[in-house]
Amino acid sequence: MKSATKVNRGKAAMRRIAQATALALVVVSQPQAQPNDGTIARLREVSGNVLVSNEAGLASGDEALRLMPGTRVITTANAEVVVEYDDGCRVKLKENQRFEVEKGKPCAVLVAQPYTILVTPQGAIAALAVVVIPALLGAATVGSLIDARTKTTASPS
Amino acid sequence: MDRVVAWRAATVALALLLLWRIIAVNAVLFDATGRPQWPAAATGAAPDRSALAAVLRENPGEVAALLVVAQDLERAGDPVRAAKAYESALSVAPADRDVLQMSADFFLRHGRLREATRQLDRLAEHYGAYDRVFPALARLLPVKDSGWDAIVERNPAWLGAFVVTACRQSVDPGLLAPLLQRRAATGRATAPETECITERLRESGQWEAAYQVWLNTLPRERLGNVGSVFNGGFEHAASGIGFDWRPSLGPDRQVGHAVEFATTAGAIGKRALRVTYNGKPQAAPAIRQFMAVVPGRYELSGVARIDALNSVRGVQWTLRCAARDGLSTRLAASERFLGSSEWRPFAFEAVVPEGCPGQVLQLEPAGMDEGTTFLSGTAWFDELRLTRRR
Repeated sequence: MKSATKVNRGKAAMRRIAQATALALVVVSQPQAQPNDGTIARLREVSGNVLVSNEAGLASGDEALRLMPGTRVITTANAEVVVEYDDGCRVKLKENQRFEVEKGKPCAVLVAQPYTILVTPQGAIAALAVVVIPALLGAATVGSLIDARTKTTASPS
Repeated sequence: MDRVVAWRAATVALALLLLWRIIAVNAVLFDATGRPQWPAAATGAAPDRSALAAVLRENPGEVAALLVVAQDLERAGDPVRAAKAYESALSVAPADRDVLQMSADFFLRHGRLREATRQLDRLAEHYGAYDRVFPALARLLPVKDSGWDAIVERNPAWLGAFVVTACRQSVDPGLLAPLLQRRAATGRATAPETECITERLRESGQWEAAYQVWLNTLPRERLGNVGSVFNGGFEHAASGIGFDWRPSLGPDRQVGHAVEFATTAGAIGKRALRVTYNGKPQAAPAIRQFMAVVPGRYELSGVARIDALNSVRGVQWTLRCAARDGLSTRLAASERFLGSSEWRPFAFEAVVPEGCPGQVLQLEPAGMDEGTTFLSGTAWFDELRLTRRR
């Protein structure tokens, strides 16, 4: 009797273990359940000051912060962040960039959308040949230069 | 015993230094076989080479003679040896004013911009001479591989003066923004630098860039919550620059009012905005703040307390679209505040249209555009917020 009870208990335990294992496998095999709050992405790899827009302005964005469509993500100087969509798309922002979280666009399009706010004016880069730099000091003869130097105080060197 | 050893070591080091200087100078004057490298041709303007050689033989460290040798070599069409002479002079006297100036000039003439920038950096560092050095550095700023990266990396103390000077002399603020950013990152950015660059960007219509530059200068603790209305709770003193509050300038007796962020009972937090009008004519806003919000529908809200504000028209908050020519289009206005009331909430809707990248929120005499008005009494405001409406 006792041994039969033990056997039954053992079978029940095995059944429970098997059920739990099966349930766990089902859960693991499903895509990660997303919050049902309208958010479609989150911040990852936050480095430096990353700001996220809200109704009343901008606020610091922390790691794993969930993002709604229409949210703007702004990186300040020396900051970087990745906006990771729930479908796996990863959009990387470097410093001084802005990105608006949008729904329904291909990942390739999203990845190209971060906009650099501070851009060094490329058009101002001048060729060496046309740079005219004002002279600091004119020519001197040895006599006048030595005379001038013997009259001035010693230099830091 | 240790002292003796140290003294001997110092003596040997000094002797080696002198020997090295002699070698360096002789490398300019003579080739490997010992023949003078001096140009044979002589013109009426050429220096007395025998005198120069005598000077240098007597004192190889005589930088004046080295400089003249360098100039003479350049004039004779030998920039390679001229460069060596300047380099010798720099090695002998690396912080000598004449050496720095003349070598910088030489390197600039011959397109050796990194070397020129290095000497200009030293000139500014040791002698100031900003009126001469800064214009040259400003011209080098937009040039690729000019050596400015080394200066930015070094972040010298004179860089702040350069930023302000260059900004006020109309150097492209986009070129100066990275310098300000570097200084802000090390806590060295000053208010005049931030003010000039953000103003220049704003006035040129680059509102987003101006806002970003200003954001980058805020201390980390102020970045936790940057409202569309910055410091809408008036808990921090107004800096008067960028996108912070700008109280009107001038003595109370002239502008007709006094603006303070004062403590008071009933305020949310410790402080609130207090504007005290002294009965004199008012023709301008008491306080204002530039903003750079995206187009859309908004609600501006806050709380107000009015103490015997005697006026025909009162005061009101207005949101205007800031234009480049200084004029502005009114987008929305609050109710008119006058009389007396306890703390109470207020709110009004505002629509920021497309094509309005920058705005200004200001507390002004109601009907200001219609002419001067007289005001006396006190108005308190707190918790101003601009909230986006979907």
